[in-house]
Amino acid sequence: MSIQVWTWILVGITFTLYIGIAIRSRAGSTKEFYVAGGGVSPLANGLATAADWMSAASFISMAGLISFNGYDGSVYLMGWTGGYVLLALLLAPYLRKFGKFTVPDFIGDRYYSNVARSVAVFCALLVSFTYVAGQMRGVGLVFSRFLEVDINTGVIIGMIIVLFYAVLGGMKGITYTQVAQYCVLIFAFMVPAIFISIQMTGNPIPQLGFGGADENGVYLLDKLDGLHRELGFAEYTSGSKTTLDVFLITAALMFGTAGLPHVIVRFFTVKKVSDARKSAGWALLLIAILYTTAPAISLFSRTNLIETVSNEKYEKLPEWFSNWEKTGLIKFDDKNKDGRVQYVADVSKNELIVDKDIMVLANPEIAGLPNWVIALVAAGALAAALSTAAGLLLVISASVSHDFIKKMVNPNITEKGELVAARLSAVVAVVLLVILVFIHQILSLPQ
Amino acid sequence: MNKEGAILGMVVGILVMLFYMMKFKFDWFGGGSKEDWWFGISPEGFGTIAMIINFIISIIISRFTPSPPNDVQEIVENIRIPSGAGKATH
Repeated sequence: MSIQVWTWILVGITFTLYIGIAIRSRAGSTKEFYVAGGGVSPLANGLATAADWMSAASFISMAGLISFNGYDGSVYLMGWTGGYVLLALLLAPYLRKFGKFTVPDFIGDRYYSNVARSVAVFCALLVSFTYVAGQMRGVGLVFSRFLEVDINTGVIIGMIIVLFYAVLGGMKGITYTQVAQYCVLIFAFMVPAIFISIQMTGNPIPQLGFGGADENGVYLLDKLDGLHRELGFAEYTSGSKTTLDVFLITAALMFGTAGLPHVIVRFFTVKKVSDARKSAGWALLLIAILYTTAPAISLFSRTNLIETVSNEKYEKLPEWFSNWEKTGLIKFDDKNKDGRVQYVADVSKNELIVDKDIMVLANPEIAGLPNWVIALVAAGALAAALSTAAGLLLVISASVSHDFIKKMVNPNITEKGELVAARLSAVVAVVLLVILVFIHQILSLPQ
Repeated sequence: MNKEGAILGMVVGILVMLFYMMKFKFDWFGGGSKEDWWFGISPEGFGTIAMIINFIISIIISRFTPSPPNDVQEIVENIRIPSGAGKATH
């Protein structure tokens, strides 16, 4: 079966699963809509938090970033995992005890001022917008390459699915779909990593394969450093950033991600503060599985990419190359007209441009893994993007219906009315998001 | 820390960060290349500096303005005490 057929099957099965879960666990009260009734078990909440935390950026882009930046890319690993630790230990339990689930809400009450609340809301919106735009690019990438539909259509399909289960299920629906999405995404991330690790080093654990050697006894990192030197790139294991800069970027990523509202709100779905701490522990373990595998994937995919394309005849390149060329994310320009791919650091001689974001998605194809594995990665990337988008959507709708309508516009609104308001604001938020994505697309066309 | 300090700190912090981002990422306010970065700090890492500026301003302003009401001070005291963490709250 072709990659496309496999992708339709796997994406179809997973989407049906998510919708099925949402219908079974739909919310009947505002409490179920906002905090899933408040009785989620610590393990289920840990799984859901992990899916919430790991977005399309973690799944698709992070390994690609490390792959192209080498040692410099490690700031993302440290920053994003560290940010979670900061959130789990220093933020979430206290906000939970304070009874507020967004940072602006906390600031508004702690500093007894609506001006402070508004300033914090502005800062939070600035962050969320940048974040959602990234998720949408991830969804668009998967759809355009594997399902061969237009990126815009892909974004709309994705948003309708999210809308369906967020509106129907509220936090309760989202929690249990996120549990399923974590399982899909981690399976999809690990299967190709394990396959390729065995292929390249004979070790089935990618984390160990990362430090392993190939059949000639050469360590993979040494081998890639050698390839980089040959082609004129900076060594993969050497960094170009100063220590101060690395420290500050890591800190910025940590403090920035620690305040993400859709993750903090997850700690309100358990019964007690001590359960919140337990689910934080589970989530850290579950997140670490992906984050410790990512550098191995970066190394494998970079080595495989260079070995497969460098100095090869263009017409003899495997099928994946032309497939990605169609999406415009790989570009080849035969500058010296010798029919071979020169992939070198020197810009005037380099003939190949590869988009960083395709490394995880293209990795199994480059390594020649079976079609179903390639399709699985596509389904996993969608799970990562959708789970985060749904979490963010719920935060937006809760702040409109609860903080704005219930607290400021109409305090006498009935339980039923508030639930309708929450669902309506989710619909409006999705429509706005789709419009924003289109504006973004139109604005970025000239590039 | 009181509301005057918190508000001014946040406003200055986000503005400094936006200024640095726009200057070195979008080439506004005269732009600049890698060599012009302040103390060699990249725009990606500058958020941390902006955060430190935020704290410094908040602390200084809070020294010269009235302290927060008693009930708020009590909340701040209470929130750090782990007691009650085992009780179901809903």
